[in-house]
Parts: sequence; C-alpha cells; structure tokens
Amino acid sequence: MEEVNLATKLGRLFDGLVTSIALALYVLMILVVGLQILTRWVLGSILGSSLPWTVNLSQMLLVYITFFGAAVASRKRQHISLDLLVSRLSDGVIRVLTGLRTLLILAFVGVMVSGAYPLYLQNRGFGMGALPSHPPFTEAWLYVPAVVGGVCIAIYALRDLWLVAVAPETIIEDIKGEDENAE
Amino acid sequence: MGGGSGSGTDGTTGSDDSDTDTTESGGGGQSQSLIIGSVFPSGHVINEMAKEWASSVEAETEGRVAITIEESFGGEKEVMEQTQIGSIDGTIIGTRWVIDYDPKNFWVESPFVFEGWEQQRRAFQTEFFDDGRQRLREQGKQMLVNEPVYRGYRHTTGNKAFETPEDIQGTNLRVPDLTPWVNIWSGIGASPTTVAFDELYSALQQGVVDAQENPAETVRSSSLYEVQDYYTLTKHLASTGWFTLGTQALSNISDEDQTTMVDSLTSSIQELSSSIAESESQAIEALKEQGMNVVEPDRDAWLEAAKEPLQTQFEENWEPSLEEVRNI
Amino acid sequence: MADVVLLGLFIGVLLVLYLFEVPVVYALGLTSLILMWTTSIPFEPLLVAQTMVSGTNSFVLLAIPLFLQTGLLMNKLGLTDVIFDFAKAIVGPIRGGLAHVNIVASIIFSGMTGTAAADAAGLGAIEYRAMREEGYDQGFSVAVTGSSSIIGPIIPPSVPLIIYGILAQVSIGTLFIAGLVPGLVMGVGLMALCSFYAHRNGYEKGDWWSLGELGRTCYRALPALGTPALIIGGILGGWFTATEAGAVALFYTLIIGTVFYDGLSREELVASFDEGMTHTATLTFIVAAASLYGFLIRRAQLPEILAQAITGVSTDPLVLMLLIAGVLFIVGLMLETIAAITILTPVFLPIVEQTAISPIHFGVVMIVTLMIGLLTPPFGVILFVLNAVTGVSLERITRHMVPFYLPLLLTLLSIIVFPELVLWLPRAIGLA
Ligand code: NA
Ligand code: NA
Repeated sequence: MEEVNLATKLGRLFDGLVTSIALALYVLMILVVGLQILTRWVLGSILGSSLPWTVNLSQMLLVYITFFGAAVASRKRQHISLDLLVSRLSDGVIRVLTGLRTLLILAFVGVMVSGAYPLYLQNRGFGMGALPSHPPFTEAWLYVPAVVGGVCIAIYALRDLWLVAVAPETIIEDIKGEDENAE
Repeated sequence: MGGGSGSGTDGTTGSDDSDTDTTESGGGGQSQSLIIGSVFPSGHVINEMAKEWASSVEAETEGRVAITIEESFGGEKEVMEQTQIGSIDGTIIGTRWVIDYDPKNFWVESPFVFEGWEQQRRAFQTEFFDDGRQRLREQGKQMLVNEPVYRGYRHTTGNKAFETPEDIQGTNLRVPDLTPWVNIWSGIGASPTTVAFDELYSALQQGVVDAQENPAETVRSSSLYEVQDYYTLTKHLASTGWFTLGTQALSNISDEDQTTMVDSLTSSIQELSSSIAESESQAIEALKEQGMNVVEPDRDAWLEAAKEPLQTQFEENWEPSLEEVRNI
Repeated sequence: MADVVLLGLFIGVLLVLYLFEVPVVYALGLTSLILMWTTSIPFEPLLVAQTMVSGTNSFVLLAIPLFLQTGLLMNKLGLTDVIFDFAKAIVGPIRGGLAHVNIVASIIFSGMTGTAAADAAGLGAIEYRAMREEGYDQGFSVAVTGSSSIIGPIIPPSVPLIIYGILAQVSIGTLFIAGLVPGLVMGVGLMALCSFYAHRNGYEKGDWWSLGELGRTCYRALPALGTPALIIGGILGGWFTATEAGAVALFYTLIIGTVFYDGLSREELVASFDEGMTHTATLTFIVAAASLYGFLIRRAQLPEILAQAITGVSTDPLVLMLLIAGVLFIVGLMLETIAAITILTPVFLPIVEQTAISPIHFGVVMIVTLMIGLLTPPFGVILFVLNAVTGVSLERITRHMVPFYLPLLLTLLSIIVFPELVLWLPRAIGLA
C-alpha cells in the first residue's frame, strides 16, 4: 500500500510541476505582450526604444506553452478528438483500441523528441533575430519545449497504458462519458 | 517578416504562397529531381528567373536534372533548415545565411557601411567570408552560389524629408528585427521600432511609427506611398538575394551537370541584377507619380553620423575594422 | 495515377485514425510519419520537430490565447448572462422572441469570442436552457443555438481568421473588418428563418418593450459591451492591430470584471487561466502538427495537381470560387477547422491569386464555409459540443439542423456571388 501512496504522491508532484510551469509561462506571455504594447504607446517615448526583445520573448513563450500545455492537455485527456464510432463499441474493444492508440501517440512523440534534440544541439550557436549578444535568445531554446514537453506527453501516455492494463474503467468512462446523457 | 518566417531584411521574405507553374519532373531513368524553396512570393522576379533557369538546366542536361521552384515552405530559417535536413534540395533566400553562419561579418548587410552596391558586392567576394561559406557547407549542408542578386537600394520613407541626420532625430523609424540595425539607427539619433512587416502599413497609418526604410519596389508593392509623403534616397544598404544548393542533392549529380547548373545560374543572376537596377529608377518614378516627394540627401553627413555607432558595432561584434571594410 | 494513390494516403490514413478516436493532432502527425515512409520524401525526425516548432513560432498566433482568455473570463464573470438579458430586452417582444434573443446574443457575444465552441459551450448553454424553460421544443432550441454559434468566428475577433491571415500574409485587421457584414447577414438570415417558424408554429410574443428594462439591462451590460467596442472600434478606427486588440480586450475584461462585476476569486482566476492555457495549447499543437502535414502536402506537389484539376474546369472567378468552396466544404468536413485552414490555405491561395480574387474575400468565404462544416455531420465539432452541453442526441440535433442550413448556405452563396458584401466595409475605411 505504501508504494502506491508514494507513486500517487510522485504523480501529483509531477502533475503539479508541469501545470505550474505551463501556467507561469502563460501568464508571463500575457504580461510580456502587455509590456510590449505599453512600451510602444507610453513608455517608448521615455525609454527611446520599444523593447524589441518583447516580440521574440512572447513568441518563444508561445512555443513553450504549446508543448508544455500539450502535456497538460494529455494529462486531462483534452486533446480534440472526434467521437464517431468508439463509444458504441464494447468495453473490451475500447480497451484494446485505447491501448493501441496510446502506443501510436508514444511512437509519434518519440519521433518528435528524437528530431528536436539534435536540432537543439545544432541551433545552440544561432542568435534569434541576429541577437548573438543575448544568449537566452538563441534558436536552440525553441527546441527545449519540444524535447521536455514531448517527454512529459510520453510519460502521460505511459500512465494511460498502465491504466488500460490495471484500471481500464477510468479511461473507458472518459471516452464514453459524453454520450451517456443522450435523451 | 515577423511570424514564423524568421528575419529577412524586408517584407519580401517569408511567403507562404505556392505556384502552379511547375516544371515537368521525372522523365529519364537516372534523372535527378530537385525541389528548391524560395522565400520570395509567387510571381516575384527572382522566382520567375529561377524557373527559367530550371527549364534551361533541364534542357541543357537533357533531362538529367529537373528543378522545381516552390514558394510555400516558409521563411529563410525554415527553408535553410529543411535543406540542411535534406527534405528539400536548396533555397532562394535573403541574407539569413550571414546571420546564422557568419554573424561576425554581418557588417556586409548593415546600413551606412558601404559607398555603394559595387563595394558591397566586392565585399561578399573577399576572404572574410571563406570560413562562413565553409560552415554553411559543412554544418548547413548547402553550397552558396557565390553571385548575389541585387534587389535594390534601401532608402527611407517618412512624413518629412531626411536631408541630414538631424532631420531624423527622435523619429520613430521602423526597422527589421536586427540588433545591429537597431543600434546603428539609434546611434544616429532615430528611435528604431521593430514592427512586423505585415503590420507596417497600419502602424504607419496610425502613426505608431513615423518612418521606415525599404527598397522602392517594396514601398510601391506594399502601397506604403499611401501613408508616407517623402522618400529620402539614403542609399544606406542594398538588399540581396541568394541561392543555396543542398550538398546531398548535388552529390547525386555529375560534376559536368553541376557546372552547367551553377554557370547558367550565375549568368541568370547577373542579368536579373542589371534588370532590377534598371527598373529601380522606374519604381522611384512610379512613387513620384503616386505623390511622394523624392529627396536627395546630404549623404556625406549621413555616413559621418553613422561612423561612431558603426565603430562600436565593428569593435564589439564584428571581425574586421571599419577602415578595412571601407577600403574593399 | 500515383497522385491519386498519394492523395488517398493523405486523406485515407487521416480518416481511419479519426475513426479510432486518435486525437486530431496525433492523427495529423501519424499520417505525416506514414507518408514520410511510403513516399519519395525521406523519413526524417528532424523535419517533424522543425516544422512543428516553426509552425508555432509566430507573433500573430499570439492573438489566439489573448482572445480565448478574454472569452473564458467573460463566461466566468457571468457577462454572458448580462448580454443575454440585454438581448432579451431588445428583441424579446418579437414573436418567437427567445429564438431571436438567442441569435442577437450570439451576435453581440461574437464581438468577444474567437471560436464557435466558446459561444456554443458558454452562452449556448444559457440560451438553450432559457428556450426550453419557455416551452420551445428541444430540437428547435438546439438548432437555433448551434447555427447562431458559428457567427462567433465570422464577426471579429476570430481565431480562424487570425490563422488564415498569418498563412495568406494579409492584414488580420482588414480580415476582421471584412467579416463584420457577412456575420450580420448570417444573423439576419437566421432571424428570418426563426420568424417564419414563429408564425407557422404560432409561438408566443414576449412582454412588450419596456424602456426601464432596456435601460436597466443596457446599464448592466455597458461595461461588458466595451469589449467588442474596443476590439471592433479599435481596429475600425485604426488604433491597434489584431494582436494588440486581443491584449487590450483581455486587460480591459480583467479590469471591468473586478470593478463592475463580482470579480473572480484567486482560485477561479487560476482555473480560468488553466483552462485558457490548455485550450490554447490544444489549438496551437494542432497548428504545429498541421504545419508538418502541410509541408508534406506541398513537398508532394499536391497543390499543383489540384490547381490544374480545378483551373482545368473553368477560369471564371465566380465558377472557380464556387468550385473551391465546394472542395473546401468537403475537405473541411474531414478536418478540424484550425488544421483545415493551415493545410488548405497554401493549397488554394495560389489559384485564387491567379484569378484576381481578393485574398481577403477568399479568406472570409473560406471561414464561412468551414464554419458551416462545423455544423455538418459526421465530424461537426459544434454538434459534439451541443450534444455535451444540452444532452440532446447527435441524431436529433442533426435532424433539426437541416432547415437552418438554408440561411447559412444562402449567406455563403451571396458572399461568393457578391464580393462587395465582404469588401465594401474594409474599402470604405481604407483598409483594403
Ligand atoms: Na468573434
Ligand atoms: Na446563439
């Protein structure tokens, strides 16, 4: 029993960590866009420039939110999908299909991460918007979320595989849930 | 510009258009077909030239090399990466290669460095660029075709004339998102703002920015004359276009056919450059007809004002000295 | 022949994956992997990462989270109720009043949200409940709610128009303004249909106009109405660009929420941002995967093949536009909206440009077509949302939706035949 508790605790810690990172970046992105408008309209005349890095930074944050947020959506199983057939199938078939589907997702994310990591290495020397004097803004940083977010998505896919094996009812409910209240 | 299209030097880069006029591919048994990604929009003179070049190469190699020019693969960064990866076989780009593979030589694409295009063109052929070209070949997996397309001088539009640098003091000038450019213009005394190119028209209309700098053809095709009254011929830089060819794709083509390709491309580029130079004055005339006042500035005063910020750039970020470059 | 096989692969694999409820983003990604394996294009993981990252590294794309978050906060702050009450005071007394209220509230709300799902899920639930309580039948209520929800992305702001604007490299501000008249035409068309139903079925009239009620609800709604006024007025007046409008709307909503309405608690605020962040990521992640899929489509030269097929039929702009709208509608049925725009814009834009059709006009036609696709089975996302929100079965929703396609399709047809409906307003204020 204790092991299960530890696993649950670790799981919650991981969920909390991924979500807080994504949320913090999201709020930061909104603030950076706000700062940009503020400098362009008000502070620009005082500062003498409109802080060009705000464009690069907000854009880069959106890439981070895309991949970290995708991991959060994987945790919540909220990626948009179309329910055409599956909810009409028997629980056993759904269970097998869900397992297969999760394996496919793992395969795709694996390819994505294995492509993003070498691109990270390659781009370490490249400045963003020709800003080699500002190390945080190298192109390499764009590929970090694809690697880290991709790994998080893979972890949630593994969780789903585990659930399919030991506690299929949780996932099947998620899949069939929406059609239950039809008329 | 802006968006995912990376940093070009004006709005003609980063197009997502594609084109229906393709060359027949396939044909002979050992025929090698290449796809080249252009960042210039469909119908652009560079793409038209490239397509003519493609069909002449196909004829001269008796169908052994079939080249297709595609305009929808993304901006400079994207097509260069796609060529590096080997998903496409070459690029038609602006000067991104200097930014990525030879940043210490970005002076070659910076304002107020040169007397004129001939000097800038000579600069590209100097040994300063030898290691950059080599890095592009080894790390970027593409060969630079050594002849640039001349795309016209960049001049400055505004709601007043900028005869001397004093006239631009404190003016909100839109420049592309390139730090050296921002530094040089602000060193001269302007207030550079980096608005994305596709938001430039409305930014000028709203007065968020007061001035911008681009070749006459860009000012004309983007209708910027509707929102700007003066065109001061600051002649601070010439825009260039470049071809790269993927080394992987080239390795499947015989040396003889490679020579045919590059030679005919080089002469096509030279022809196009002179025809662009000719049409440049027509574009300026067209701007006059649209009601713009074209102003000839005190260019010596401008070069003098740019000297100090340029010195700083050369000392801090660039390899040669300003004197060395001015003597090219 | 090889082209047909290739096209079959591009569409077929995608559909099979959809059928097995693989999320849209992975269906696009996995289809791309399979295409890289089976065609002459080399299989290259680097390309997967490169196209996905560069597809989302876009400044203009930032407008999406800004508008999405604004819409979510509006729902959470209860501004949807306020707007509903105001719409009720305006059109309530007309025969079949609540059906008209449903449409007018959606038109007003359209000025704040960028997606149809935001309307259907937020305001839609309130509208449906109100109509049911007044005794309107289930099918009619859900059909009015659904069909009016697609006005959301046609009237600015609009997430689909933002994505189109990025890909077509046209001003998003201009696109926004261009959508205004078609959105209103669609609203009027739907109201005409409701009037017909109301007379045929003898629906009751509501209480007569009361100046007091109008004044009270308007006063309540006034700060909320500032959002569309800021967005549409700001762009019309040339004060700011689309992305800026999004940020201004978001900060404005946060401020009025605290000042004029019962502000949100810390927990509610965090939950709302959590929802906005997740929703943004599901959309931009689809943009990422669609960039990969779109790259492969262009790499395989499919747009050229399609262009030849289409221009082979006719080169008359009107015929072409009708043909393209037809193809868009069919392909749009099979793709998620954002994915459809990302993939189809580069395919059709070159054809459009060759025939002197304005890319602004084409963009609005494309979005209206895809929005109608959202209401069309088997993949219509709004149908799923309505089913989830109201509990009415998909079959029943679809059956009652049938007459509502008439005003929607008529709107589409009229903006195809009369481009002025789209282009007049932006031209009048000097944007196009
Ligand atoms: Na809207
Ligand atoms: Na509605």
